[in-house]
Amino acid sequence: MRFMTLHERKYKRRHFFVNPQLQTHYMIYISHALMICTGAAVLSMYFGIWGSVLKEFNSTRIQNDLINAARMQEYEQARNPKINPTTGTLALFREVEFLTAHQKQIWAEILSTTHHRLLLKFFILVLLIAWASIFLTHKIAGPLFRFQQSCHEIAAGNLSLRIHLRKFDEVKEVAKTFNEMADHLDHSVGRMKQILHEEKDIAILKSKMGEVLSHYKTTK
Amino acid sequence: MTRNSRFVLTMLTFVLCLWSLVAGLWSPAFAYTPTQEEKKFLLQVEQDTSKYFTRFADPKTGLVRDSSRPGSPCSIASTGFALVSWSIAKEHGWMTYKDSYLLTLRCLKTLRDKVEHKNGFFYHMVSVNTGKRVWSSEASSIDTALLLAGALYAGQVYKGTEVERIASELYRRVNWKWMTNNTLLLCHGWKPEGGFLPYYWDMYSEHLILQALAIGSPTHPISKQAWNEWNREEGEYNGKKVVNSFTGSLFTYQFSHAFIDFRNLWDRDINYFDNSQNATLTNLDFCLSNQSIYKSYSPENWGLSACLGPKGYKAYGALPGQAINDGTIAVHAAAGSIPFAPEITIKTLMSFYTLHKNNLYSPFGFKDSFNLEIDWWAQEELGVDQGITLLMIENFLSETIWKRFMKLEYIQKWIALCDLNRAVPVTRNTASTTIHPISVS
Repeated sequence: MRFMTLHERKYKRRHFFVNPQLQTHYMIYISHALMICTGAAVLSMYFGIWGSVLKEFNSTRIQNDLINAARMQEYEQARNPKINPTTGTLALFREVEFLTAHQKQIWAEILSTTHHRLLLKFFILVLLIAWASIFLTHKIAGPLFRFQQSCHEIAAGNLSLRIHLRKFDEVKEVAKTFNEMADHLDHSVGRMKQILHEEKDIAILKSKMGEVLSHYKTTK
Repeated sequence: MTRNSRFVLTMLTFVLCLWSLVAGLWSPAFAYTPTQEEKKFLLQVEQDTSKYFTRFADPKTGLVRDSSRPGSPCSIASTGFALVSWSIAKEHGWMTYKDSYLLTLRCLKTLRDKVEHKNGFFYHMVSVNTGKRVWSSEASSIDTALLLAGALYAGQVYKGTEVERIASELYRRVNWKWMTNNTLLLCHGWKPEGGFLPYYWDMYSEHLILQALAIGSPTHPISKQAWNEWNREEGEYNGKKVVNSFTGSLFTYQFSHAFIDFRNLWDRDINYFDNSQNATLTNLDFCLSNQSIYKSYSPENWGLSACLGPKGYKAYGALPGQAINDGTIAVHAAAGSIPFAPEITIKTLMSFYTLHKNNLYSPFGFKDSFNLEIDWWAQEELGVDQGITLLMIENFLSETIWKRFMKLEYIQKWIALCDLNRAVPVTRNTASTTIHPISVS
């Protein structure tokens, strides 16, 4: 039996719904995309395979095939009248032979048709999956990229930067929080710059700066 | 009389003389001239029958179904008859030139590019949609010959066009020698599962067209000896001698004659046109002689040929031959013999129409067959039977098919090689020595 390490225990997920609203939103998106893809796959399989089978084995078709088998046996007999006439059970065996060969042919045709149909539908499915994955990842990757760029700029000292996401982009709540953080930093650094600019007395300057900086926890 | 009046009179006399001369040359070659009513009736049957080949041709491939029954596959022989039918329909104005040409071209392109074949021999039955072999059918020598005859005829109609080029291509690619299976006779067919069928064209039947095309081939001809290899068995019935087929089915005396004009061709002392005439009369005699067994046989109801019957498709026929019969009458038996015995067959066809129109006639001409013994009526038309009906009516009325087909160099080659173009027959026995008036160039 393997026990969890202290580190693993510390970071073990206790709540799977950390942000129910955001997660529900994504669950709807992903499940919709998956349902569309799966639905397309199931329909393709159903009509690709069973469509051919149902077409070949409906009652009219079977009836026609039985008549055709009998007719072929009769044609063969009429064409080669020198051979002993096949009647009764023998004729039936010959008809069954024709039918068996015909059904083998039908199966071969079904397989061939099915392969072609499935190949086409598979191609459409691949396109559908590609579209779904691009759509979903764009909704997440787009804002993440914006966050990354913004973090770089803030690190470079541009505290005036704010994130503005597009209308249908996700993680707007996170962007709002990010902008609040940037506001706060901007305000604090701006305040410090103002104190530095206005205050001539070093003691007062230190006191005011200390007051502003007292909000921040740092490693040093 | 003024100078002008004399000129007009001279011109009128000249036109009259010219008309008499032309009319004399173009006068019907048959001893029997149909009445206006008969001609009108035949044209109506011909027109309706031609509708079979437009209605049951697949619009995408141009391949024609074996039967009007739903789900029927394409018969290659039916398609051969269709290729002739479309050009006849065009010539009568039942189809536009454009429609006829395009359908013919589509069909020939399908045959060249899509329809499965073995060494140029097409399978008897193929899918109308894809051209792939169906129902384990054989690569058939006779069906291929009938198809090619139709294709070459269409090539003659549309000379100098793509139709003629493809038709020639289809004919030239056939390896007739291969179909002999290293014998002197042509085999019935070949199957991928079992190779050559164990049957050969070894006696008189519908295979004369096959022989002609195989011997006349410019690319893979069979030896001219093949012509002498098959048996010419002569049977007799009620005093009439017939070089007979095995079954005695009337279609065996008709199919080759739909394309080849045998009237002036002599195979030693045999004239196959006369032979078919005798076979037709014998068929009628046989039916009338069997009235005690099948009461429905009569001068109005006769005709034994391979057709649908109450117990399925059978090679019905008369003596001399196997003579299977059960009272079933094939409509195309009489129709396909119109050029051989017009005075009898036209009347028979007209009585079929008058007596049984409701059960026997459809928008596509006559249905296949009927049996009055048990009040049985075929519910469908068969492509090859509609084909022989249509082609023989046209040959009787205009001889168009014969005239065009006999001009083919391949047919002329076969005639020359087999020495059939004699003015006087070589005596073999006491067979008829009638010489028919039309000479074919």
